[in-house]
Amino acid sequence: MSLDIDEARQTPAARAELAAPCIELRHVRKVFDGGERPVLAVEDLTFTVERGQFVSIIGPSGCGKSTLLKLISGLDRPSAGQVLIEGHEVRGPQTKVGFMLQKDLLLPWRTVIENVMVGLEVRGAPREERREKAMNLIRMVGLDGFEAAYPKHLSGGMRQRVALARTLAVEPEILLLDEPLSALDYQTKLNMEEELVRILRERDITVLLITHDIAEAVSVSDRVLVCSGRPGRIKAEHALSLTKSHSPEEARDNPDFAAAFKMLWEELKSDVDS
Amino acid sequence: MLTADTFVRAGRLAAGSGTWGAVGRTLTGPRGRVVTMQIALLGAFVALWEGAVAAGFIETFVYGRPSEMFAFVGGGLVDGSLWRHAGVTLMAQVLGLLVGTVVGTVIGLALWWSPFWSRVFEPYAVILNATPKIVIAPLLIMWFGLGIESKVMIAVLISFVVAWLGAFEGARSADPDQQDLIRAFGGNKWALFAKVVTPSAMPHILATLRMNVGLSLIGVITGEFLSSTAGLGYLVDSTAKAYKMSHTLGAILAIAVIAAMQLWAISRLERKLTSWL
Repeated sequence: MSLDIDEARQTPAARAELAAPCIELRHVRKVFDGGERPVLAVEDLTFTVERGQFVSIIGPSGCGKSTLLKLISGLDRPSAGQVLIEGHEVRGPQTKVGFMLQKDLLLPWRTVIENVMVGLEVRGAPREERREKAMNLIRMVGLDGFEAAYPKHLSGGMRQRVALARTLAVEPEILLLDEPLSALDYQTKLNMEEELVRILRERDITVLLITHDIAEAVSVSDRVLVCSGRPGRIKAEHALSLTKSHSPEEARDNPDFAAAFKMLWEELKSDVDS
Repeated sequence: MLTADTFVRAGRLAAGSGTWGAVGRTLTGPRGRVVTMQIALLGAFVALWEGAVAAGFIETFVYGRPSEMFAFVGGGLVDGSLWRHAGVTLMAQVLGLLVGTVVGTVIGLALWWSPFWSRVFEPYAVILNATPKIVIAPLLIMWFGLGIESKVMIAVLISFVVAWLGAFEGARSADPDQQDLIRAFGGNKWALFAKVVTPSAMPHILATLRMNVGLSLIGVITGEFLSSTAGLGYLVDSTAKAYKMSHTLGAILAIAVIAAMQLWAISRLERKLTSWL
């Protein structure tokens, strides 16, 4: 992507949009009124993610991961503070933002290709375009021949591949990942991690990965944010260089990997202990 | 309150779809052996009965006789009287079933759109569901007459309540995360309804249809017991009162065939609409 040429054609307003961080959270707070005792899920959450970055948030369970995801994707609104995508406050579901969860959320009554096409259908893409795009993506994730299969016949890894194809079909610029691979067995997980990172980097997608797997965060991210337990807050932030020109597998072999892992582990541990 | 699961499970239980699917297939192999045994048991039972009557152990007058029953059914099929009675019952029941199921399903699904109205209607649904609908049959006969109209209305009423609750529970069982997915793609409430809610409710809707076959048949036949001049219920009632037990059994056989045919048709429909299950 040649930003300079694009930028020259843009209006001043659009240039300002490009200058704004891709994702920005300002003092975000979310309270759920759960009956008699309200639950404070996240508090004073502030961070930015720049365009094209691969950023991970790691934290213990209960640090408001799914809340965060819903807030950024616009499925839920913060109780206080602001969530901005490219400088605009998020007020509803964002077409630029896609997400992948641990649950693949495949619709069981739809075949593989129909699942991949569902987002395009909702967006009103013409039938021919839907098919063509879906078939290309199914081929890309290595599932050609399975397009007419129902999800019940697929393995966990295959189902997540379908979910990935479905997510990419609507060409998101930003992708929120909530431990999408954590339900898979280790071997499948490593393979898919490799593939996922390659595909996302090729497409220049900005990624925010929410995980509790330190090794995964270290091997794929440009930056790691460490989140504290309930209520979720960012307590530390680290820029990593392991992933600059490496695949996740190579990153795991890098001597710096162990150091980064240990540093993050110490930080997380102090939170669990306290 | 009936839960979503109850419907689906009840449907599966009532299904017996394995048996009906197997009949058309080969009679060898484990499934074929089951069917062979089923037919053999039925044959043995009928033969034993016939033998017991012929030997004078039991009285035809009280228990009927299979050969007489088959003769009655055969005769009725040839002279058309059985077709006529079956037609009257089938017409009332299927019409009532379809109208009740369609109206009930539409209302049940429509209530998904409005939490307010679904809460308003909930106690009505629960009370209607708990009350045996058949107690209204005498009133319906008063209002709609002795003819087929009152029987149709009984079947409508019975199917309507079950279909309403089934469709509503089905719609409510739709996965909120799947709905979030559609919303995240920019889908509006219609998109949620069409792409998640209705397909999620489909197994429930088909399960209620299956339950309603039996229930509407009970309704129509009870109506015919109460007052009628034709129909299989009338035939059962009138022949029993005339102590023609073999004829009564023939009419019962016809009712069983009607019910089984409909369940078979629903199994086909289920295989078509919910093959993904």
